[in-house]
Parts: sequence; C-alpha cells; structure tokens
Amino acid sequence: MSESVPAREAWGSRIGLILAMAGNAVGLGNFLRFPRQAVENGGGTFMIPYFIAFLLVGIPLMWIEWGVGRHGGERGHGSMPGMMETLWKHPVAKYLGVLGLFMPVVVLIYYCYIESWTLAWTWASLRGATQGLDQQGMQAFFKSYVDLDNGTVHGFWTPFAFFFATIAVNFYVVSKGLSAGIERLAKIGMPILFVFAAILVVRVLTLGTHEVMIDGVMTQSNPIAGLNFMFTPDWNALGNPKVWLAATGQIFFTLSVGMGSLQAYASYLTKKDDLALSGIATAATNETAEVVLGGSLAIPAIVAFFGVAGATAIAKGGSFDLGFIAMPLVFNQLPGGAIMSTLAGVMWFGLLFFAGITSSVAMATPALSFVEENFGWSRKRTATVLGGIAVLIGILHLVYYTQGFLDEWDYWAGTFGLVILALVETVVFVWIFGPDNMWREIHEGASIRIPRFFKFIMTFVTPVFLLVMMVWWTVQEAVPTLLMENIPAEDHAIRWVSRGIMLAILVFQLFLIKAAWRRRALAGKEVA
Amino acid sequence: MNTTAIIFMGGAWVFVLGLVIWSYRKLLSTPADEKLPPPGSIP
Repeated sequence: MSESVPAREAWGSRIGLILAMAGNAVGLGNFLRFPRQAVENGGGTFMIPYFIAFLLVGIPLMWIEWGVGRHGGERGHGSMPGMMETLWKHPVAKYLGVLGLFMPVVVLIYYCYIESWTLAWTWASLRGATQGLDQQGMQAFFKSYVDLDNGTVHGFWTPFAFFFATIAVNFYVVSKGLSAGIERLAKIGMPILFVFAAILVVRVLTLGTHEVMIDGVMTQSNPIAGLNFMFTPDWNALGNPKVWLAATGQIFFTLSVGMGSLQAYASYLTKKDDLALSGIATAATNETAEVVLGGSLAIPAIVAFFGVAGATAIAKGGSFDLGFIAMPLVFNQLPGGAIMSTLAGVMWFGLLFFAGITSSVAMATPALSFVEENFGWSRKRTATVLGGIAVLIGILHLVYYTQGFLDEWDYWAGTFGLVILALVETVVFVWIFGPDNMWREIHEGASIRIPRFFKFIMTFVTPVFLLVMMVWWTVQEAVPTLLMENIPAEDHAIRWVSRGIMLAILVFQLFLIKAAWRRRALAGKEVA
Repeated sequence: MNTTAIIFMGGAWVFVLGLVIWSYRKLLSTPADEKLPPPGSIP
C-alpha cells in the first residue's frame, strides 16, 4: 500500500457491517418485485433457476464486489474509478469506473422518490386516510399522489414535502459518517424491518378463509391458497429462457450487485477483515427477507381477500399496484377494525421505508467518497451539495412521473446498466487482475475457505451468464426501449429529455474523473 | 396446500434459513482476529 494513502473511516463492528451490507441489499424489491416475478414465472419452478442464479451469479458477484471494494479501499479509493485503476493499469480503466458512480447517483435520485411514497403512505395509515376506501378509491388515492395535475385527494405540495423529507433524512444519515450514520441506521432499521415483517407474516398466514367473489361467483379463499399459488411448480416454465433470465435478473436486483454501492462499503475493510463468510451472511440475510418474508406477505394476503384471479390481475398491474393499492385494501379488511388496519399499514409501509432507506444511503456512498477523496471536500459539505442536486433533479421525477421520466432512468441505469457494470468489473477483476490474484484477494483475512470450484465458476461461468443476459436484454428489451416502441407519441419528448439529463450526468462525471486525476497528478500523488 | 408446493416452499425456506443460521453461527463462533492462512501457504 502506498504511504500516501490517508487514513479512512472504518466499520464499528462486524455485525454492523453485515447489517449495513444486508440493508443495502434488502430493498423494496424483496417485498414487491420478488412475489410478482415468482407468480409470473412459473411459481415454485421459479425457485429452481432463482437458486441456481444465486449460486452461479449472486454469491460470486458478492465476493467479487467485496474483493474489488476492499482492494481499492486499501489503496485509498472508495469509488469505482480508482478501484478499477488499482486492478488494471490502463488509462481507460478509471473511465470504465464511471459506471460505479453513475448508476448509484441516478438510481438514488428516483429511488428516494419511490421511498418517499412509503413515508407518505405510513403517514396516511397513521391518519387513517386509506381506511374505508374501495378499489377505485385506493386507485384514485394513488393516482392523485403521482399525478400532480390530479389534485382530487392530495394537495399539490404533498408529494414534494415527503420527497424533500426523504432526501433530508438520507443525506443527514450519510453526513454523520460511516459508523455514526450508516451503521447506526442499519442497526436500528434492520431489526425493525425484520420484526415488522415477521409480525405481518404471522398475521397474514393466520387470516383464515374468506368469501371471495370471482367472475360473479362466490367462492372461498385463504392465505394458504396464496402460498399454493406462489409455490406450485409449472414444469413447462423450466424450458423457457425468459424464466431463467427473470430469475437471474431478480437475483441481480435483490443483492444490489452491479451498482457500485457494495464496493464502496467494502472499501472501508482491511486485509484483516473477512470477506468470504461475511459475503455469504449478507446474501443469506437478504434471501431470508425475500423468500421467507417477502414470499409470505403480499401474494398470500391478496389471494386471501381477492382470490387467485384477483391476485393475478393485481400482479400484472405492477409492483406498485401490489404494494400501494392492493395491500392497503387488504389491511382495510383485516379483523380488528380501524386499529388493526392502522397498525398493519404502519408496519407494512414502515418496513418498506426502512428497506428503502438502508439501500438509498448505500447508493449515496460512492459519490460522497469520490468527491471527498479527490477534491478534499468534507463529508458534510459533500452530502449537502449532493442532496441539493438530488432535490433539483428529483423534482423532474415528481413533475413528469406519469410521462415515463422515471421509467427511463429505471430501465437504463437501474436495470440494463447493472449488468454492464457487473460484466465489466468481473472481466477486470477476474481476467485482467487475474484469477489467482482474485482468489488470493478474496481469501485475505477469510474466516472460511471457499470451495475451489467457485474459482472456476467465477472465472468462466459467471461472466458467461452475465454476457448471455446482456445480449438477451439488448435484443429483447434495450432496442425496443430505445426506439420507444409502445410508448405514446406525446411522451417521447419528455423521455428524450430524461435520457438527455442522464447523459449529461454521465458526461459530467467523466469530466470529474478527468479533473480528479489531473489534480492527483499535480499534487504528485501516487496512485497505487 | 398441495404436496409439490409444500416441497418447493419448504426447500426454499430450508435452503435460505439453513444458510443464514450456518453463516451467523460461524461468524459468531469465529473471533474477528482469527484468520485462515492465505491460500497456498499450507503445503
């Protein structure tokens, strides 16, 4: 390590690190996206490609990202541009690392907006604002919130107030630093999330049988029918490549790999710290939240009150319909009246808020580290400026949400971009840095020895999996999305503006990288 | 609940809960400063 590497912050405890890492991974997708994906992709059969992808892509990428992060952090880099250069001594390496700055910043901005919904709905649950609403009423409640022109339920400024509050809380936490801010949040937020989710699972699974009207016929349904619906295998799905890619995609999103935030957290580790076992513990914590808790909540609850046909229709409407329309309707029908409805609503949206904020503070970390380390800004100043930028750009998401402004960012940065970064970092860390160096790096300070066949998997299988996924997504989704097929013509202009702003952020970050390296060169700093 | 659904759900739960219990037990039973030697250092 170079002697010029300044002292960096450190995690306060091992359990704090794992909770923060797991907090980064456990997000809204565990409770909203996973059940929908499982239902739409073969039910129980989905779990086969899901766990195969977990072992062949998820866990290996976890180790790769922890390894990349610690290797860079030991050399004074808390973000991907510097990390990439420590692995590959090539002028282009640091510019490839821009992906690890771009993705978390872009996703952070729109993710905070979605996160602010959970705060708004927690408040609405507390006030009893959604009690007594039927399906149309609940849809109107949601539509009025996201469509600023439709002020039938909410005031014009209400979504802004919750968005600003969410940004303020996020940047207050990160401004406090690693141990006093992020780690403390994880130690408080993660147990609350698990306790709320466990209470709701017990409540949902003990709901009993209800009369449900399906196609004009009264029938009976219960939460066990929901578990049946989620886990009954459809063997034909196994032969469908779409199901395999959906499962791999879900593993990707759920573990928050390909984002740049895991690497930023891991950069605060030293060679004495374990990566191998901690990586597994983090992934396992996330999977418990997703498969055991996420899989037992939304779908069983919705099936109990709306039947399988109703749940299928709601799932097709998207994850937000599931979480923000269907679940409050379920809570309205719980035995126990207004008190139970309020409690369930607060716990559901509260757990979603903690799932969201423990992820969003992780997304803020790479950019904060980059500015702090390369331009000498204090963390507080960096957090304030980045928070201000997030507010300014985030307002566009609020104003143009219904025209698909957010969808563009979610697709290009929050979906497609993740695979590109994962592929790039895998190639650089495993092939260019070298499989032996990669293996040695991951085992430095390790508490367990990783089975040797994983070296083969990480060298050959994981990159091929990622490449296939990228090619498939390019052909199947990226090209039609780029050409805006099936998008109303009146929304094209806004979507192009949305893309333009993303591009501007990317170019600005490339410029910052160039400026940072020029500054380093002038300061005579040695890049280890 | 049908048998295959029970098998799939049970299998998924056993896998993730088993992994989480094993990893946390191992973490808690391994002192943070007790490390394996680097790979290749033991003949």
